[in-house]
Amino acid sequence: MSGSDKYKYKPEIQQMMFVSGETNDPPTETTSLIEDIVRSQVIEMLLQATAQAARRGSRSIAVEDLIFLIRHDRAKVNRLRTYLSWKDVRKNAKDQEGGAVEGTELLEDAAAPAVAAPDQLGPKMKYRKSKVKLPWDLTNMFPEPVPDAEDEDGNAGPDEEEMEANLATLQRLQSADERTRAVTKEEYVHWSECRQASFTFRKGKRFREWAGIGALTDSKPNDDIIDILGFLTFEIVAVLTEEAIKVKEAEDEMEMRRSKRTKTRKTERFLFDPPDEDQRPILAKHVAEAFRNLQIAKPRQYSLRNFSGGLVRTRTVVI
Amino acid sequence: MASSVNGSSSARASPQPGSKKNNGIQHYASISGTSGTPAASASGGTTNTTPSKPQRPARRIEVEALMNDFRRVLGDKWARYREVITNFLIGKLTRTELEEELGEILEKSMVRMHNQFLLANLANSLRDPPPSTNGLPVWSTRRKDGPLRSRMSGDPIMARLKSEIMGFTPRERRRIKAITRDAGKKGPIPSTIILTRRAKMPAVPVINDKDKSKTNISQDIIQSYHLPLASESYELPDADALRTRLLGIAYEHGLLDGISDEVPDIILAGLEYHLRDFLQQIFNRVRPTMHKKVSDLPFVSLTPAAQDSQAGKDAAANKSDRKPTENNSKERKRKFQHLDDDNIITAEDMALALELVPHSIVEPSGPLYRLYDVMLRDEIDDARPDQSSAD
Repeated sequence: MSGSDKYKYKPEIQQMMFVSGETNDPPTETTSLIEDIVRSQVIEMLLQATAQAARRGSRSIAVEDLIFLIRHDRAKVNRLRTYLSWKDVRKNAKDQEGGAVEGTELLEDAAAPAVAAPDQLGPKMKYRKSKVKLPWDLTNMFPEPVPDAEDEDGNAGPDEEEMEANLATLQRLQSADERTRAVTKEEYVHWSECRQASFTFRKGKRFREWAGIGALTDSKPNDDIIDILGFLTFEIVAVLTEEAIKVKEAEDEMEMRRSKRTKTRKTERFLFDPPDEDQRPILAKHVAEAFRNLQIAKPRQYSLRNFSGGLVRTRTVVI
Repeated sequence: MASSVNGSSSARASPQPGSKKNNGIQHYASISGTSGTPAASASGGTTNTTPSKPQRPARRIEVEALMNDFRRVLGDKWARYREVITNFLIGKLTRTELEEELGEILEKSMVRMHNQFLLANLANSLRDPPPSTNGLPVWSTRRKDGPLRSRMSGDPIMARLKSEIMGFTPRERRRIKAITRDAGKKGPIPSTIILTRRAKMPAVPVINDKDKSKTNISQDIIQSYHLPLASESYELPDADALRTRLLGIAYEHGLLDGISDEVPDIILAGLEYHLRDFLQQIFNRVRPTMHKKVSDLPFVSLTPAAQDSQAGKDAAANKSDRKPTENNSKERKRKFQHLDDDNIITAEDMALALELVPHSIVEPSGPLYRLYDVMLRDEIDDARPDQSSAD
C-alpha cells in the first residue's frame, strides 16, 4: 500500500508516544500526522541552521547552529548537552578499554535513584566531559575566559535559571518514574527499549533520505548533526504527545461537563467494568490542536507593529 | 510660332504670371522650333483639354530631366536662379524685378532652356497631379557648395521658431516634445460607480488558445456565485461547497486548469487554524481567569446584559469551548440555550476583546465594522430592565 510506504517511522513514533505518556495504541492517522509534523520541523530546523551558518560565513552546519535554534528552552539545551556528553563518554570509554568497563560503570550509576538529575555524574569515572560551548552564553561574552566555578566532579551551584530549567527535566523524569513504579521486570524491559527509540540511531542513512537533506543543504551534515536531530525529534514527539494529552483531557472534561449538564444519568460504575480509558487514544485532531498551541505567535512578534494589528510575518516555530 | 504660342496662351484663362512670362520670353526672342514644339504640343494638348475632356490622355511632362540639364548648364547660378523663380512664383518679386534678375543670371543660350522649363511646369500644373506628391527633390535640394544660400536664410520662419523655443526652459521644451498624437486623450475616466460595477461583475476568462477551450467555465463561475455564504448559513463550508467556490474563483482569475483535489482540505485546515487562533485570543481576554484550561469556575460574562440577551450569533455558538466544530453549530446553539447564561459570551465581549487585542486580526474588515456599528446593544436599553431587549 502506498500509505505504508510513505510513513516509515510508525513503530518508533508509537514507542516514543508510549514513553511520553500515551498508554493506548495510537491509530495510524495520528502517527502519520506526527511523522509529517516531525519531518516539517526537521526541514525547518535545517533551513534555519543553514541560514545561521551562512551568517557566520560558514557553509556547513555546526552543532552550535542547531543549538542556537532552541536556545530559549534551557531545559532542552541542558538535556541536549548532557546527551552529547554521554556520546563522548561512550566514545572515550571504548577507546580506553573494552565495552565491559562502560557497562559496569553505568550499572553502578544506576544504583542511584532514577530521579537523580542527569547532571550529577558519578565520581567514579574519570573522563573528559566535554561540554559544548555556547557562544551566546553569558560566560562567553567576555574577552577573557571566565572561570566556570566548576570543580572536577559535577557542577557547583547551578544558578536559578538552571534550577528552573532542570525542573522541567525533573518533572519528566518524575512522571516516568511514577509510571514505572509498579511494573514487572518484562514490562520494564519493554519500557526501556521503547525509551531508546530514536529516529536516527543506527539509521542515519534512512533518516537522511526521509528528511530529504540533500535538497536542503549542499554540504553534507556530519554525524553529530544527525545525532542531534535524532534527539530533537524525540523531544518533538514527546512534547507533542504531552500537549495532545492535555488537549484530550480538556476535551474529555468538556464532554463530562456537558453530559452532566444535560442530566443524563451515567450508569454507575461497577467493580468489574472494563476500563474505559482504552477506547480513547490520542486522535489526529488532538495532535493538530497541540501543534497549533505550540505555534502561537509570541507577543514580541506583534510588538513591532505597536500591537495595532496588520500582517505579522510569522516563522514556523521550532518546537 | 511665337504668335501661336502667344495666342494660345492668351486664349487660355491663364494666370497673370503665365502671360507675363510669355511676354518676357518673347522679349528675349530667339525661340526656335524646338522650344516651340513642346510648347506647341503642350498648348495643343491644353487647347484640346480646356473646353472638354481630352481625347488622348494628357500626360505630364518629365520636368526633372529638363531641370537637371538646365541646372548643369547654369552651374553656380542655379541656387540664385531657383531662389528668384521661387520668389517670383509666390509673389515676392514683380515682373520687372524678375526680368532684372534673370537678366543677370541667364545668358542668351540659356534662355531657351529657361522657357522650356517654365512652360513645362506650367503645362504640368494644368494636368492631373502626379501620383507622388513629394515634389521634385532636386528642386529643393541645395548644392553642397552653395555659397549663395546660408543655412537659415531660406527659413526665416524656422529661425524665428527656433529662437523662440530656445527661449523656453528645458522643462518646457521637454513638455512640448512629449506632446504626441495621443496626448490629451486619456480615455474614459473610470468613476467609482463604474469601477464598482466592474468589480462586482464576475470576470469570465477569454480563451485564445482553441485547444484548451472548456465549455463550462462560465457555468462553473455562475454556480460558484449561487452558493450560500458562510455568514448566511452560520456554518463553515464543507469541502464540496468550498471546492465549487474555489473553482469559480480560480477560473475568474485566469487559472484555467482548475484546482486539484487537496486544495479545499488545505484551505479548510488553514481556516480552522486561523479561527481557533483568533477565538483563543478573544477568550483569553474575556475570561475572568487566565487559566488556559477549562476550569470549574463558572464563567461569568463581563457584561450584565448577557443575562437576558440572546447570544450574539458569532460568539455564542462557541461558548467557552475552544474548539468549535464546523458542522451543526446551529444545533449546538440550541443546546446551549438551556445552559446557564453565565457561560455565554456576547458580541459586546467580542468587541471589548478586539479593542484590547486589535492585532489578533490582520485588518479590520466589513464584519468587524458591522460588529461595532450594528450589533452592539445600546446602553440605554440595559438601564431599562422592564422593557424586553431587542437585539
